This record gives sequence, structure tokens and C-alpha cells, in this order.
Amino acid sequence: MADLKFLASEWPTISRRLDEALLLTAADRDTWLESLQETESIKLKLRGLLAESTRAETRDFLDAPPSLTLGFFEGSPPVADADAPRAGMLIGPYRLLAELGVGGMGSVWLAERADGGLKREVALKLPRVNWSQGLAERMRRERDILASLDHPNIARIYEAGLDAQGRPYLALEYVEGVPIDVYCMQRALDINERLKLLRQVARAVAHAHARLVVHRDLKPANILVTADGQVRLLDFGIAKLMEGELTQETQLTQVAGRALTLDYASPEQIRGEPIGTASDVYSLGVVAYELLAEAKPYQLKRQSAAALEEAIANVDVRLASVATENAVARKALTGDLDAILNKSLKKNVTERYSTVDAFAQDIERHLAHLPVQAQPDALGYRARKFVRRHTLVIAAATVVSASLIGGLSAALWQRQAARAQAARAEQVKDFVVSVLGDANTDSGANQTTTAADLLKAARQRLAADLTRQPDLAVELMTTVANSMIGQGLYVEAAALIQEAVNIANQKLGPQHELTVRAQALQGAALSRTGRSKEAITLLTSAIDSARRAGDSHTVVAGLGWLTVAQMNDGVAAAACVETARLAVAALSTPARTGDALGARDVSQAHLALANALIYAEQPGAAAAAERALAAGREIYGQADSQSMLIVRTLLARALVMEGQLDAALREADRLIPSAVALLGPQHPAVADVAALVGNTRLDAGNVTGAINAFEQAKAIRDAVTGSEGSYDQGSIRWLLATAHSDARHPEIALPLFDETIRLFSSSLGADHLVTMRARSVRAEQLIEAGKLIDAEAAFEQLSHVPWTGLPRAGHTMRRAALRSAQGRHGEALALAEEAITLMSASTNTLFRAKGLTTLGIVRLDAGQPQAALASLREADAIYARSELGISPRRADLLVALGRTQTQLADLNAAAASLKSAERAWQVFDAKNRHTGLAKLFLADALWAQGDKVAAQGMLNDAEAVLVASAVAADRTLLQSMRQKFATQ
Amino acid sequence: MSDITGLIIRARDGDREAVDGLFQAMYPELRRIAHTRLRRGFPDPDVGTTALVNECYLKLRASNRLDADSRAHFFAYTASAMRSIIVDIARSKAAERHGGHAVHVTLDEGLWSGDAAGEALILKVHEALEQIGELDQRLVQLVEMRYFAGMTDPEIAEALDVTDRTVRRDWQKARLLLATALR
Repeated sequence: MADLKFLASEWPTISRRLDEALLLTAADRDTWLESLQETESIKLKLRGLLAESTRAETRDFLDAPPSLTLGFFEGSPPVADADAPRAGMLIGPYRLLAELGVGGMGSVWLAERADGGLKREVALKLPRVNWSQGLAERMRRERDILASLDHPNIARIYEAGLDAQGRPYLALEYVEGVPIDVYCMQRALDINERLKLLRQVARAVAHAHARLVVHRDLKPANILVTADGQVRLLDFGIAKLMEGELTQETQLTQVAGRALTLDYASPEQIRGEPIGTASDVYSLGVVAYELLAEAKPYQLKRQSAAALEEAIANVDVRLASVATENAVARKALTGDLDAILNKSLKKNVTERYSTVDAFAQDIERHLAHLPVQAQPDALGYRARKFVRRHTLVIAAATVVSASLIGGLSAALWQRQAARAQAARAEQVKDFVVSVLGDANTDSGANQTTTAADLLKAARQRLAADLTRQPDLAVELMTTVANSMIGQGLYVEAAALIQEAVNIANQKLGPQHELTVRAQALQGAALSRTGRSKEAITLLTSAIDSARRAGDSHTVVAGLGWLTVAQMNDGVAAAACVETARLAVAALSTPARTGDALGARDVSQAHLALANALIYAEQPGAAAAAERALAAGREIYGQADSQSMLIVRTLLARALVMEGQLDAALREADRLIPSAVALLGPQHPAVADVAALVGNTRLDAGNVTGAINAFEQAKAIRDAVTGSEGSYDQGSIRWLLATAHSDARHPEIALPLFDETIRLFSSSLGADHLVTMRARSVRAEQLIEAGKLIDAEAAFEQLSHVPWTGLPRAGHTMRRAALRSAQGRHGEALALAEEAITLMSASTNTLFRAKGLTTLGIVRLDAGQPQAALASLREADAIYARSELGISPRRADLLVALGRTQTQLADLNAAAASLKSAERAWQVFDAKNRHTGLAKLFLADALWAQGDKVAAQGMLNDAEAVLVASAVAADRTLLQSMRQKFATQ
Repeated sequence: MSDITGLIIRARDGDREAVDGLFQAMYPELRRIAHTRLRRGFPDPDVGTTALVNECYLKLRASNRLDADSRAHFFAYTASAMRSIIVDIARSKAAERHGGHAVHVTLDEGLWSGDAAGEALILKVHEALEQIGELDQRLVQLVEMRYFAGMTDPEIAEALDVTDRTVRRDWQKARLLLATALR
């Protein structure tokens, strides 16, 4: 080997001269050397070095890094090539036919069954994995999960197994097709045709997401299109499967193998955070972007993995219309499609489409020339921007969330102690004892050490003692955080669990049982503090991991929490029910008697189901709540506990829905005192119980009782720290305002609705459909208050809202009420008929009864008394089943019914209806204008009956009330009645 | 800030201790990854050193020990650790070949895909770099990144904060020196 020392003395000059020489071609260098003003020594050395350039430059001298081939390293002897897959080889029951592809993860072969089984060609994936214990079992579970995906656009997984030598294989449907980007290019598809393909993709992904399977690796190579234009998604959930099975090193290599093509990875994937369905939304967004703009979303200064990684994490995508070089595409992309792509490619999960389904819907809306839901963002154009559909009772249903999380979860973690090593259990005990010891010292000065104080002390100690083993630390932190949630210390809990998750991820790894559980609990805590989107991501990811690890308890708990998080996030009710049903389905074999853990799972899953069914207004809620209660009793006996109170509250509500009023209301009356006795007057769970009890009473027509309960709930929610301007505070005002509207007190209801709208705007967003609904309901109160001009303006502002489903029915019916109050009876009638048709889909009978009442009044005013009679009678029948007494709303219905009967000259019936109404109003609120109106129409009926004295007296009573009415029409009506009595 | 990122920043500011610290932190990690790779059931012919460094990088990223913006510098500082590992292994292989497990090696001669020439080349490059280090430490760094860590020119340019062109030119220069030394 030569020595380079000869260069040392003159190196700076030589180096500089070399720089010059290397800019020249080899041929020019000789001339250059000749003319060089340097010593001969230097020239000579330069000549020598440059002479090597042929060798150094023209051959691949040292150009590739040394290859780490197997034999190169010490260790096990190399694997014989005989083991490498090749055509004709048998793997399990399959015979390899031809290699389809090979990549970092292993190879894929076209194969057929060789054991006489079903003759079909399959794509056989042969992953490179380490053999590990339990692999077969995990592969089987995996296959079961993936086999649940049954969708024409998703390639089937037939089998996952190990062959006789323990080599794993996956048999997948063999799809003959080309990658979607190639397909689009080959056929020169236009934008709309591409959108239709993307819609197929999105629908298929949504199908998988509904079953909680995340793809994780969506990219054109995994999205094939067959010759007849059908999309087939490959490798669903395989990325995750591999992650679970491969050694961590290999797993990372796979990413490393793709390190230069991270194009479709989401920011959270780059950051190594938990992956949920939102990650697929992002990846699909990138695919869509590339197909539509034929350009990459990020413009990189330098084409390197680092630059791309940096861009994905931090740089906002360019608008597709800007990125594309195709003028036709630019025109098509500007506006809606820019907005859709932008929304799917948000860095922040919470700003992205909350589901792939929402993405698909927007594509559909765009294809149908409807306004899309994508927020306009900084796009500078005015987009129509409304999100998600909601069912009517969202406000009512979500109040349950707090206690679902707090109550039932509490015991879940206790099992860890049972399962933990004895030594670990001992340490946990020591810790608890030490905290209690401190508390005892404190209690000398302060006798009222509460559970909350103890938890805060525990938290202090946890922070102070960081020397423990990570698993113990995580377990303790999780346990303490969970108890904090139980005590309503949400903010403290959220902070602590975040810390626990960080430690767990770092020290135990993302797949560790404790990490997954901590993550699930974090999801629950976030859901509680209104961050439902983040909660959904975390929970989906945790459930996924737990399912793969076979930790059914965490799966059940996670699905229960996910149900609530979805409800809080306004996910369609049917989807929430589906999630809750998954929780029930995830219950392992029927729990044995005395199996507390199994019983808890059963209770939790059925509680989630009852909650979702109430939310969705579907039947079966009572049965589910009964099941939850029975299972809970196995654990808690007859004693009260937070979770049992919530179960009982839900049961009461379900029973009202099913018409079992007596029992339900008596139970409801007991619930609030029980909750206060158990938890103290200020506990958030008491607010939840009170809100639900209020709702139960409101449904049953007990308006005053409802107001009392709601007020109590509102006071607690307003006092709970960390919930300033929260959705919870908004929803309780919504409920209270609704109760006051039912009591016909618009002057109280209106300011409460104003606050509701403010709180919903800050927590959900001003454009959120729930906020819009609050505004629509508020506008209705303006009618009640006689402010028709304001009401008209308010409805006008809401005219662009793309109402769907029941909210549309409600809004249309309210517009009918406005037209009716304005005396525009024809328009009112058309609207009311439309609204009642829309309502026919609803199972919520009380909602329908309210609609039927409005329809009846409108029909009566439009000169159709017979038709009016039919709808009013139907409404009355509903109220007769749902109420024990006569509520204000039913009294108003009876007034309308009496008026109709008067017109139809059914005078006795009319007088009977109106007398009931008048008595009910007189008792409920003697000074209300509705009391006056009941008296007025009763006077009319009495007059028609010929009892002029009584009629005159009743009219005087009516006048005494109505002179104070804020509604001008009331006095006009009074005037005309006076004239009628005077002239006849 | 994460621990590795902290070291990288200090190293960039010329803190020699931090450079050593990085080496200390990376060496065992890379070595472990390199060795684990070999206990695999399937042959893995095309695994380069790049993959190892990538793997190490992603691992540290996943455990939050490294911030995203430190990627290029991480690679740069890992390169010298990578060099040590490869050289160590090449040495032990060469030693094995000359004694130790010689019988075993002979039996399976045909299956050893790592060849004596390959090991010798690595060891020679290593020695040549010792000499180049006497002339220009920057070129040593470049060779470590380019050859031992398998970084691309743009990546190296980013890490060293120079243009791609400078990297290409320096690489040419380094190869001239290496070719001379290896002669």
C-alpha cells in the first residue's frame, strides 16, 4: 500500500489545484498542467494523482457502500439457497408458480393450492420474519380480523399460516390489474373519471375503518384497477400485521427501505406517533392529489428523504391547482377540489376530514355539483362548509360521556395488580401506603382530606420519584390518572396520562400492553375534555393494538370509550351503535359467575350499547341497560357506585323512551339524591346524572322538574375547572333553554340559546351543524316572543345551510311555524307537509308529535280542519302515552284540537279539550300568554255552545292575561273575539 | 430537546466531547442492528450499510431521542461509527479466515458470499483514510458518509452545508487519494 505522506507538505496548494483540474476534462488537464505556475514537485504530484482518475472515475471505484452480505458477518452459518422460495416449491398447502414481486418485506408469488383444496390462484406473500413464540396464534387472530373485511373493492385475505418449517405465509386474492396511477395515465382519464375511481377507493377504505382496520400503507401500488374499471385495494392491514410480527429492526428497515419514497406517509407516521384512521385519510389525500394534479404535493428544494420528511412534517401542501402543469386540470381543481385535497392533507389530525367517509361524501358532492364540506381555510374563496350529520339528541346523549369514562373504567386497571409480578404488586402497595401515610400526617391539621387530595399527593410523589422501573411508573401513573378521572380531575388526569404515555412509548415501546392501555385511557381523557378527534385516533390505534395482542379487556373498554368519543364528535348515530355492537361482540366467552373482570366487561359493553341506542333513538336500549345493570350488580352488589348510577340513569331514560313512565320517573327521582350522597354535590358525574334525569323528565312532560335538574347540572358544570367555554357547558344550556321553551318562556330561553350558540361556536365551530341547529331553534323562540321580523332575518341567515335528515325536518317545520305566524298559510302548509314527510324516517315519536302539532295548526289555519284533526289526534295519542299529566306542549295541542273541533261543530268535544288545556295552563303558569289563549278559545267554544255568560266571563279572564302579551297577534285575536261576541 | 439531538447540536458547534458522545451512543446501537440482521431466516443479499444507518435513525426517532431536523447531521456523525463497525467486523472475518473457524469456512466455502477481497478492500480503505486524515479531515468525513454510511451527494451536502457540486468535487478528490493510496 502506498503512503500519502509525500503529499503532506504541499497539500493545501495541491488540493486547491486539484479543484481546478477536476473541473476540466481529462484531455484538457495535460495542457493545463503544462501552463501551471507551480513548482515541478507540485506538478509532478498533481500529475500522479490525476493519473489515477481513470481508475477512480471511470470504474465504480468505491462508489457503492460495502455490502453486508450474510457471510460477511460472524454469527449463524448462512442459510442455504435451497431454502429460498422458488417455482414449484410447496409452502403450506400452496405450490409456488411464479414470482410476482420482491421487496423489502419479502416476496410475493403467484401460487395455487396443491392439497386438492379449492383450485384457485392466490397471491402468496412470504414475509421475512423472525420465528417467535405465539406467532401462529397471532397470525390466526390477524386473519380473523382481516377476513372480516368483505367488500368488492378490497382484495380478500384467504389464509395466514405457518408451513411445516415455521415459515409464515399469507394467501391473498390474486388481482389482475394495474396500479391506479398507471391506469389513469394509460387511459388518459379526465378529472371526473379519476374522481369516480377515488370514490371507489374511499368507500372501500371507509368499509375497513368501520371495522377498525387501518390500512397504513395506501399508495398507488396498493390500489389496483381491473380491466373493467373496478378498484381493488391490496394489503389491507398487512402493514400492521407485519409490524406486529417482524423484529423491531426489520420493521424499521421496511420504513428505511422506503426512506426515499415516503411520499404517502402521514405526518404522524413520520413522527412515529400512533396511527389511526386519520393517517389513511392523509395517504388517500396524497394519492388523490397526485392523480388529479399529476404533481407531488410538496415542492422540495432538494430531492432527499430528509427534505421530504421535513416537508411532510412542517410544510403546508401547495394548492393542487397551483402545482399542476395541466391547464384543464388547473381550472377543474381550483375551488372545491383544492379545498377537498387541502382538508385531507392537513398536518393536524383534528383539521383533517374526520373520516374517509366524509372525504368520499365531498367527492360525491363535488361530482353532483353540490357545495362541499371542506372548510375554506386560507383558500380565499367562500366555501359552503358544513360538517356531518347529527341526530336530534346529541346534547342529551353526550352528557353520559363523563361518567362512562370515569365510572366503568375505574376498576379495569385494578386487574393489573392481580396479574403483575408479586414484587411489582408489593411496590404498588408500598406506594399507596406511603401516600396514605402522608395524608394521615396532613389530616392532623385538616380532617377533610378527600380522595382528590390524596390523588394530588400521589401525583406529587410520582413526579418526585423517577427512579422506579418504567413499567411500574407507567402502571402507577395510569392508575392514579384513572382515579383522577373518576374524581372529575380531568385536566390533572390528562396531563398525567400524557406523561405516562410518553414514558411508556420511550421505555416500553409502542406495542407494550401498558403503553396500549395508557394510550386508550388517554383517549378516554381527551374525549372527556372535548378533544374528541384526537381521542378517536388514539382509541382506534389502541384498540387495534390490543386486539392484535389479544387483550380483550382493553378492546372492550376502548370500544366503549370510542363509542362515546364518536358521539361527542358528532359521528352518525348508526356508526356509534355499530362501534358499541363491536364492543359487545368483543366480549370473550360468556362470563363465568364470580368472574369480576368478565362481568365488568359485560357491563361496560352493554352500557355503551344502551347509550348509543338512546343516542340513535333505536329500540333495545332498555334491554342493554338492564344487562349492564345485572352484570354490574355481580361486582358491586346492591350498593351504589358511580357506574351503577349511570347505568340506572340510562335505564330510566330508555324506559321513558319505551313508554314505561311510572317506573322510570320514580327511579329518576331517586337518582340525583343517590348520586349526591355517593359523590358529593359538586362531582361532575352528578351533573351527568342530573342532566339525564332532566331529559327523562322533559320527555315525560315534567317541565318544572326538568328545569330543576338542568339547573343543578349547569351549576356543577360551570364550577368544574378546566371546562371554560366547553361543549358540556353549551349542551347543558341547550337543554335548559329547551325546557324553558317547553314552558313557553322565550324571554328566559332566548338568552340561554345565545349562550349555547356562543359556547358551541367556540367548542365545535360556528359552522358546525349542531351550532346551526341551535340557531334554528333560537329563531323559533323569536316567533314565540312575537319578534317576527327578527325571526325572518334569523331564518334567512340559515337558508344556505345544507340541512339533512332530522335537523332538516326540524328546521323546515320551524320555517312553517314562521310562515304560519306571518299569516302566509299556503307557504306554511307546503313547508309543514314537507317536514312531516321528512320526519317519517324518525323513530323519535316526541319529535314527531311536536311536528304533527305544528302541522295541525297550519292545516287548520289553511282551512283544512278535517286534515288538521287527523294530525292533532295522532299527536295527542303520542303524548297520552308519554306523559302522566298534561304538559304545556300537550295543553297547546289540546287548544289546537279544541279550535278544530269548534270549527267542525263538534262542540262538546271542543269544550272538553279546551277545558283540559285551560286547567293545565292555569295550574302551570297562570300569567302565561298561552293560558290567555286557552281561555280565549275556550270562551269561543262556550259561546258556540250557547253558554254566553260563561263565555263572556272566560273572555274577560283571557283579556286579563293577554293585555300583557308581547305578541301583537294575541291582542288582535282578542279584539276580534270581543267584536264577535258583541255582534252576535 | 432529545438527547441525541442535543449532542448533535453541540457537535456542530465544535464540541469534541459531544462528537465522542455521539460515537459512544451510536456504536453499540449500530453494531447490535448489524448483528441482529444476520440471524434472519431468509437470505438478505441486498442489505447495505445505508439501511443499517436508516434503521438506527428511525429507531432513535421512534423513541424520541432525536428530532426530525437533525437527520442529515445524525447521518454524518453516525458515519464514523459505521466505519468502525464495518472495519471491526472485516477484521474479525479476516482473522477467522486465517485461523479459528477455518475448518468450518473451508467446508462451506462456496456459500460465503463475503469474500476475502471484500474484507481486504475495506481494511485498506480504512488505513488509507488514516493517512488522508493527516492531510484533510474533511475528506475523511466525506468518505465515511459516502462510502461507509452510503449517503447520497445531496444528503451529504445538506449535512455539511455545502453545495452538491462541492460534494461531488471533494468525492472525486478523495477517490484520487484513495486510488493512489490503494495502489
